[in-house]
Amino acid sequence: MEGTTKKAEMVKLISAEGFEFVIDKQAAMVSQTIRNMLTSPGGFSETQQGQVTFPEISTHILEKICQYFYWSLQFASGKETEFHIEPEITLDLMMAANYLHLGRAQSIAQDYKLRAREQCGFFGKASK
Amino acid sequence: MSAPKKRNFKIEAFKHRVEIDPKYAEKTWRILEHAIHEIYNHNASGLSFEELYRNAYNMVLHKYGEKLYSGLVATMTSHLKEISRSIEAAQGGLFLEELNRKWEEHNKALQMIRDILMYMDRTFVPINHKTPVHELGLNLWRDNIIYSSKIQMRLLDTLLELIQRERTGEVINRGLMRNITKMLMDLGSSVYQENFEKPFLDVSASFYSLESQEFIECCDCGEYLKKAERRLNEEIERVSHYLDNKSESKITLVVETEMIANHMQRLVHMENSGLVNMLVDDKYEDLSRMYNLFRRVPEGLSMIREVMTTHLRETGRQLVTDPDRLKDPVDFVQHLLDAKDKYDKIISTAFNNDKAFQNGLNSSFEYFINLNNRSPEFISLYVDDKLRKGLKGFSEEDVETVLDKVMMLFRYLQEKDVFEKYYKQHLAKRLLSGKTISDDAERSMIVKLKTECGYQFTSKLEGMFTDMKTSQDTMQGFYASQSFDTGDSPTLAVQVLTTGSWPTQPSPPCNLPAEILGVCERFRAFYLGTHTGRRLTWQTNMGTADLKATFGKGQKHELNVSTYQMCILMLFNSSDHLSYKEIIQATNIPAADLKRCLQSLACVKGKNVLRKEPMSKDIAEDDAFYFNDKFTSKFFKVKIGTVVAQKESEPEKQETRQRVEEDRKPQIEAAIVRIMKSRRVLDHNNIVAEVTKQLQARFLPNPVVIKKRIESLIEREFLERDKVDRKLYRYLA
Amino acid sequence: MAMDRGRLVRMCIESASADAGSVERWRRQRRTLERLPAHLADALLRSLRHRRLLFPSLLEVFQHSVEVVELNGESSVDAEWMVYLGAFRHLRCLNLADCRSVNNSALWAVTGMSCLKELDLSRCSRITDDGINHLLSIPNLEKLFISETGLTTDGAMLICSFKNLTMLDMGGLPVTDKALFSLQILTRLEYLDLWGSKISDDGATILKMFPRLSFLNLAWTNVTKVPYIPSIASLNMSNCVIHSISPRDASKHAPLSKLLVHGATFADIGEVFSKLEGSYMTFLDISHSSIHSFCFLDNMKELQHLDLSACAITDDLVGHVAHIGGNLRFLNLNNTKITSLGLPVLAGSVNNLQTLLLSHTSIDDTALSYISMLPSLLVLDLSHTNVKGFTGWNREGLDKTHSLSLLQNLIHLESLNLEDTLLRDDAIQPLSLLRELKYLYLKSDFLSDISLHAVSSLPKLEFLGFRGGVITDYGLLFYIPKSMLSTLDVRGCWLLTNDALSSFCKMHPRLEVRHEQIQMLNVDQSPNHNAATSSASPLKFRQKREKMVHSPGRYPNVIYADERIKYSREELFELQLSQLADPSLCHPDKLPQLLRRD
Repeated sequence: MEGTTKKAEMVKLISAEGFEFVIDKQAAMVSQTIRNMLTSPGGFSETQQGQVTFPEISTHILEKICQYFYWSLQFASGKETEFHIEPEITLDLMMAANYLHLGRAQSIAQDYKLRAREQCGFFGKASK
Repeated sequence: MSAPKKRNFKIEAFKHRVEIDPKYAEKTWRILEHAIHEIYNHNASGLSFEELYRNAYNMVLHKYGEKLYSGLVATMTSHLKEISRSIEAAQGGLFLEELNRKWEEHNKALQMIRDILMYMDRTFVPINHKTPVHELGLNLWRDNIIYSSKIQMRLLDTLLELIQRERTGEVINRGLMRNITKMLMDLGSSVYQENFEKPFLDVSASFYSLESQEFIECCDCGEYLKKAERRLNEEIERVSHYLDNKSESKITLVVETEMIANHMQRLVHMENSGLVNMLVDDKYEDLSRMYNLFRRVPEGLSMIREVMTTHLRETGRQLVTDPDRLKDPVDFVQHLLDAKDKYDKIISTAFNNDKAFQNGLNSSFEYFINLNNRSPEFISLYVDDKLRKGLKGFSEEDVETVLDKVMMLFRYLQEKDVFEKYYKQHLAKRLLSGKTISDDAERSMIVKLKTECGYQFTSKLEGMFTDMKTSQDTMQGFYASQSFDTGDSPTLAVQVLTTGSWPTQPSPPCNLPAEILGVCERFRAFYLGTHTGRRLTWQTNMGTADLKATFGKGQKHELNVSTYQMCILMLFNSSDHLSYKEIIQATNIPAADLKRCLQSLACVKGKNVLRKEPMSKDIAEDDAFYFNDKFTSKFFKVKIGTVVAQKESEPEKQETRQRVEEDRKPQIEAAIVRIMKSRRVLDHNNIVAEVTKQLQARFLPNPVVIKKRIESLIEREFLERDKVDRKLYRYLA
Repeated sequence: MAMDRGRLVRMCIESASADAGSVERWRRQRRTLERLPAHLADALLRSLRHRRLLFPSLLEVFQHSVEVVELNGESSVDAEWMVYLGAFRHLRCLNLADCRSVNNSALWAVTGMSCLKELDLSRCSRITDDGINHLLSIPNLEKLFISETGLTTDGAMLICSFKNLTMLDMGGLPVTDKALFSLQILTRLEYLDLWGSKISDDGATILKMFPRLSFLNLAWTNVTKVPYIPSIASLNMSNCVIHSISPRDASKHAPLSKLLVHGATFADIGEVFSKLEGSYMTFLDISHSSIHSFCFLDNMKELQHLDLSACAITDDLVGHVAHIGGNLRFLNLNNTKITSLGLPVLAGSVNNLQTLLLSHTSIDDTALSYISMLPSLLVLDLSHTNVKGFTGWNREGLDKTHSLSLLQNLIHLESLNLEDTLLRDDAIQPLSLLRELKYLYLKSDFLSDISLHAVSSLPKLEFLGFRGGVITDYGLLFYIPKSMLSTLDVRGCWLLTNDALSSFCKMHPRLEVRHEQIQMLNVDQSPNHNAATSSASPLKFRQKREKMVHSPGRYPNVIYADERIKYSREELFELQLSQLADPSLCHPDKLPQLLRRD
């Protein structure tokens, strides 16, 4: 799907309190925002270090988000189970989900266009 | 994992309590503005994506999206203005490269900016109907760089200059060109069109206009076409390498217009090298090139077609009216076939089997073949010649090929009924004289005619074949039934012809020699014994006879003669000399035929078994004839044919034509009656049109003749004229 | 790798609005949701409303985030609610249609709300002219819906102070010409609804002064001549007497694309239509009108929607429809004199037709072979026709072939209505071949268990109506619905007992079963009932008078409003009991006026 080299299979997500969650890169990519962070050109610090800090997302919520990533992958591959959400965290979780842009199809097409250009060597490697 | 949160306090997941106040918004914006600067200055590494993203998010969340957006616009614009200045400063050849480099950098920066402002892009932008960030970036680039007064023209001029150089043979940096044109396309197809394509097309038009002018002065048609083709291919290749592929049809249109369409007339009619010359000289490659080039321009192919058909008609007309050619019908038809072959080859090799051209070919042939009203006769003679001797030794396939080609010519004839008449005559002669190379070939021809014209056309012809076969059987039966030895009574071979199938003119039989009469009577008895209700009449004007003759010094010869000649010669068995009058009385042969026979027996060198006194070419009524003892010939078998020209003499020709006309009258009348019966009422012009349509498979009726036939039908009360409208006719039941 | 749009967000909202307890649990945590983005807040609020978990003080939580509030049909909304709503800082769009408790003093709460752009007070009968006065201070109002409120023509004149209005719905109000004159100052108006008002031809002349007016509804008024309005696209003059649309000497033709003249009377139909540029027309409703000649159809080649129900169209005249049928998608010929002889003309000319309504005509089985030649057909209504299910019927009843099997050729057919036809059990079997069918409506006194099982194999069926039939308890209990089926309507099947019904419902809990004896239960539980009205944007609900809303209900034209607005609990109980006695009351024609389209 993407030609970016996978330097590491894993990526580190750090919560506001400093908790570190090490998860599969593929799972993290369920979030469009994280995907952009890790694949944007230009050498942002996240890309370089392979980790993202979220000073505004609490540990509990971030944990739930990570669980959601894995659940989403499972669901997409056919295993349809329940994902339980306690009412107390619904609002925060919702805001975090919104923040992390979990899967809106709309801008994906645009995204592919930009990234595809990158792939075919637009930057100075055009073929004759 | 972390411990569950206590629920008594309002613990926000987002730690930093943010105030919603303008100062905060300003501060946040500054952070982002700074980031954008860094990105443009290639200083972005080390920035935290998350922090920037979060800041943008917060701005939008607190309804400061507008501030963020307009700030973005302002910042990008100012950067772009700077970039614009640096591009303007580039010298000469580096201009394009600098532009390209900055474009790539801009795109990279744009992507990064869009990524960190993603939240604004997907929430604020659509709701407020703003341009999304990526598109915004392209638009700003377009407005500040491409449309900048110092860059716009320079860019265009540079591009056009490079193309010009490439056209004159230089090598240019195609990759760079590609990037630049792609950039213009990305900015919008109207940008590409206004800022490059339209001027490009204009410049190309003038370029090719000049070039074509040059070429046409110094090149001949073939060379010019080669050059035009080359330029065309060049342009197509140029598009595929570094222009947008929608430009292909536009630039090819320019080349086609300038190089071909504008010079079409001159090229086609160029002396010594134009289309006509190419046709004459079978220049397939040049013709093919011309076809392919001309088909791209409007009216191109129709021009070629017109010139070709005109030329063909003219050539054809000359062919059919050339008196030399007309002397030899076989040669005449052969030339026609050769012409057809030639043009068929041209059309299939060079003109791509184009149907329209085929049609032009057909119409031309139809035109000039029918200019000569002897064409039907000549074609029949051609077939006759082939079937007598011309196709001897050919394989079956080759025979078919030749006959098929003849059929092609047949189709062009307008007077097919004339052909039918002649074909019948010639076929009868072939059958009766046994001079056909192959029965299969004959039948094959009949089948072809049947396929083409229908059953009625060939039913009589088939009848002739049947008669021949039946006669064979009859003869076998006859000899089987003759139990006694016939001794020296002559051997008889009879062909029984059904009246009506054969194109014979009945003539009263002459007086046959006694020996012949006897065996003839025996045959007649035999035949009528097996076939009651029929009547046999001997056609003495058509038979042949083989005579054994002994001459003065004892030379024996076998003479092959016609029946009339036999009757004459047999007379000399009983006397040595006879006068004309005696001969005519004894034999009862019609005068004209008799004269011809005597001529062939006495006046032809090498065949003079009789001697005439006085010796002269023509037969007079008071001539006397003697048996020629002194006759010599190298050959044992001597054939003495009657002077019957293969080609019809004038009076015979008139006769045939008259017969044809006579035959046409009832056909026209039948057609009129058929039409009127179904239509009941019809006006004159329409009748003529309908009749023509119905009969055109056989011949083209003359409107005057049709009118006469209508009058005749009125007299016979099949039709009546309308009382009010003189042009209207009504069917009378 | 396809991403599901906002699935986690959706799941969070569902969890947060699961029940009152859940609401309490997160509510306790915070007082305001000022950091919640507007679209999330709107969605959460909507979900809470669906689940009936909203109450006034809960609204306070949303006051900093929500932009869109939809409370249409909620009779509990009153002044207390409005107080909280008035505090919403970013409220852009407020829908209070059919909130009958809202009165003038409640409106006081929203005075001066500068963010409010859209306000719907349709059918709030307690709102009068005074109420409008309160609203005058809302400066940025762009869309205002006040149909069937208590406004008088004086109140209507006050509307002119809303300078930014683009949409104005004043249907059912006694607006006079004078009031309309005063409104000409609203130059931005694009949408104007004046049905049932006191406008006359004099007032109508002012309409051409609105430069952007594209939608105009003058149904049930005394207007007979409509002037040339430059940007008009959609015009409704149902139940009017029409003399002319666009003046005689206009050099331009009105570019009308949508015209509704249901139940109208024409002075001279040829004259009227000659002024219209037929080639723009895409939607035409002339049902129930006095038309006899249909030549005016001839140049309407772009027509997609044509309603000729209850018109004097006959088989001879159908040619006019066929002539322009190339783009037609919807054709309504209900209650006309069309017979099977008229259909061959149509087949072949209307290849894009998706909906064909032939209810209450004398169509019979011979028509089916022609109907089966309409390749794009999705919806077919043959109710109340002479379809028997067999062709080649002769006296002995021999030699007959199934006619419904012809419908197999309609490979896209989704909805088929065969209610009140002459079908018997032996004709039903071919219906099982219609694999794409989603909605099937059957009603007959003679259909039995056999037919029920014959149609049970349809894989995509979502709604099965099997009313008035002779189904036994066994037949019902042995019926196995496919997984896609969501509703089974067996009202009028009088043999069924309460026990059988409740067992069946227990066996298939996800299935909605409609029957007189369980009517009550379903009314309480199904949240889907309102789905059709509230999930759509508020605007669609407004146009119920004009537009066909495709609900999966039985009659596409009928919109079931929330029954509870009309009846109290006691009244509903009464209804239930009375229906048990007389099943024919289920017939929608017996529904109260408000619940059906006229």
